[in-house]
Amino acid sequence: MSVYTINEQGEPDFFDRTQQKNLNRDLLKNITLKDFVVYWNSEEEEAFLISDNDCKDSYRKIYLRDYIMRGDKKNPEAHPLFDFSFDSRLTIKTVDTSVNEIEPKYKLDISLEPIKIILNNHQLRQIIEFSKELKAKAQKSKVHLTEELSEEELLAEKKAYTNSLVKFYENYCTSKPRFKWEEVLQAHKGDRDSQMIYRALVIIPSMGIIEATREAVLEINKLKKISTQKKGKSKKGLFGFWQAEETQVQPEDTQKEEEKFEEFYQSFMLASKKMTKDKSVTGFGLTISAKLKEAGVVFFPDTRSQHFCLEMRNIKLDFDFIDHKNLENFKSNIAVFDLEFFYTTKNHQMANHFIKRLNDYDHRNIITLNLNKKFQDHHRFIELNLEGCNFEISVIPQISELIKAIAPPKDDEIEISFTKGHSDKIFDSPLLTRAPSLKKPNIQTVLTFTSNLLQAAVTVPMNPASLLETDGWALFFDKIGLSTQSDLSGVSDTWNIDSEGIRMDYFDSLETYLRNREKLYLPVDQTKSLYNLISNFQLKSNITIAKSNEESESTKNLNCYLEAGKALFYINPLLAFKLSQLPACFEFLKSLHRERPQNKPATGTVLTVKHNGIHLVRYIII
Amino acid sequence: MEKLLQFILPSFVGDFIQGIDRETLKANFLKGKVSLKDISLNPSMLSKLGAPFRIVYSNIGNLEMNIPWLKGFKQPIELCLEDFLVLIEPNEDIKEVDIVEEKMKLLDRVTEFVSINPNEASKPEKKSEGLFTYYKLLILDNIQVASLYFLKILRSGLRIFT
Repeated sequence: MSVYTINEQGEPDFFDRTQQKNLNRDLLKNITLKDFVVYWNSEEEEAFLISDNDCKDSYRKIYLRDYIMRGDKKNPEAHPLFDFSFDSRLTIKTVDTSVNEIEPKYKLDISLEPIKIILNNHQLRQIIEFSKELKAKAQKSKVHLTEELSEEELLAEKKAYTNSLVKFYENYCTSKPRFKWEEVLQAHKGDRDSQMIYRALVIIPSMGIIEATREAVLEINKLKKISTQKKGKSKKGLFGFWQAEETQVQPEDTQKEEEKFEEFYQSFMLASKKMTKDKSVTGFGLTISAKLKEAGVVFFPDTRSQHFCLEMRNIKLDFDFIDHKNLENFKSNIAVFDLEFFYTTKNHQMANHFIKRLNDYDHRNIITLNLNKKFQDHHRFIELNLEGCNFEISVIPQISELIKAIAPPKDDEIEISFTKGHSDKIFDSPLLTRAPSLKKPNIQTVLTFTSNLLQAAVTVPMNPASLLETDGWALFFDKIGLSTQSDLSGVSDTWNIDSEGIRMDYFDSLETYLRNREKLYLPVDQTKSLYNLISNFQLKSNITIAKSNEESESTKNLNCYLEAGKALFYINPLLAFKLSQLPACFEFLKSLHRERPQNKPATGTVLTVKHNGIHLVRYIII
Repeated sequence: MEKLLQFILPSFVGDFIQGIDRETLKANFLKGKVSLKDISLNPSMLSKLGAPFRIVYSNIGNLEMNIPWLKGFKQPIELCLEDFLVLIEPNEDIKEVDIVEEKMKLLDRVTEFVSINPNEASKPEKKSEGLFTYYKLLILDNIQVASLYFLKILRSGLRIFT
């Protein structure tokens, strides 16, 4: 690893930010990691030795070095069973723009040399579990709680905090030269007032807590003066008349002190507002741009006899974390020029492609994914935009093995819903065990998904075991757009599907398909073709699903609107026969099916079908 | 001179490194070379950066520093780390503690007004900026690191090695 300061041209440089010429320059650093290796040792059995608290540091050092050497590829004694996950050369250029800007911002420009990740099923499961664990922890530590307090609740919390702080001061601090916050932390697990103070520090926003502390300080000072006056009076005694004037606090003095405090307080509030704004509102932004020429993932589901490969070329990734304290607020963009996803056996006899390019003429990115996440007003807004172009998907049964391997175990299954948030998880936070009376925050996820796929083909081979000889079906879309949106109230989800230029063909061999494939995306009417079943078909649909309220007995309502264009089917006995065999190609999906609790039958469903501008059918099912 | 460095070095690198003492430190003042053996990372380093991990154990077998002090720090300081091991694990509740501590720090000046001598509270803090801060910033901006680097994450039987 090497780290050094560079100039704008990428050359090593000496940077003095106090010099006039550097005042408007950003600080640039180059970080290079050569032979950078990550490996995931899923078989490690002696890890407990180092995680044991009683383990001496000298032993830890020996164990750690031993573990690392086992994964060191240069070491001839390296463990041959460790599947290697990552091995590359990584260059990161960091830009620290905090030199000039009020809002600090860091930019990372990462370029990676081709990387290949090899994973087995055991490793993948562990990585998934580990990432879940990390996600759950991150979720726990998020503090959206302060935003949940209403005006009245906030006022009550502040009042309770002020009282507790005064009481805490009276109980613990009167005999001490100054108030120490560490004592609140030390006592907060046992003492009720310190518990209340701790809770308030967690849930009340910074400005509110300063205001409440000010009230407490004024109250404490009043109490102090009363006790001093009492002391003064009681101390009078025989020569008390000499001391009386010294101990008695004059109203002018009190006023002066209060004025002084007020003066300090106002300036402090101003400074704090700026400080808290910088830290919690703006945070330090982080922008990551990464370029990668080639990346590959090889996955072994069970044994080494078969594996899945995902290969990508010319990848560009951009992440912009707007606020580092809440990593949910980010924008990201991933563009992949070329992608291949295939299944192959050990001897690499044949690669069965799930996904590949349709043709080589088109120079647009095969996939562009844009994801924006934002947390605002108790809503988590997710915008997902997917654009695909010029790709072919094959429906082959081997994909089920991959899905089974990646899918979580049955008991972990989570039903996906557009508006269901993860508020329950947040509620497991230890914050709330200390703040038991706080109401549950209702965080709602609002997902807006749009996808636009251009010139996409789906092939269904009738006999996937021998792809070279098989016949099959090809479905081609000139354009297919899908968009969904859930409304803010969480009452319904709306789906819009808009497709153009749909055509479906039957091919008697792979060779026939390959020969005719290039014609698929041309706007040529191939109706005379023997194998063409349907061509240039348009379909528009709008589906609105009203969600059932768990508390009430009402069930889902579905409103479906379909608008179909002119459709001409060219059916001959062969096509009819082959069409009847089509469902058998999807038999493998049954193995993925899991028993779910049966939903109540839908009521109040409206289905409208429009053909060539005329409403053909309108079903109302109750 | 080594004694002097024992006091100066922690103020420069104390946020990142700990364990600097007479036994671990060797220096050649004229050549500007400082060598530290068997030192460790400051465990609070990651939490200060807001990272969701904590350092369980760390060891830097050898840290060589090349300090161009004769050139008035107008060249980068070179660091070479060898035999560097870190054991880190995900940290829980770090943000909660952070929030409370951050607010406590913020409120410290307000509560100074309930101390015995409240007049002291309104006095402005001494400015820490000066030549020392200037050099510290200059050094950190231009530091060059070369390393034989090992990193390890461990938690609940799940591990990543780099």
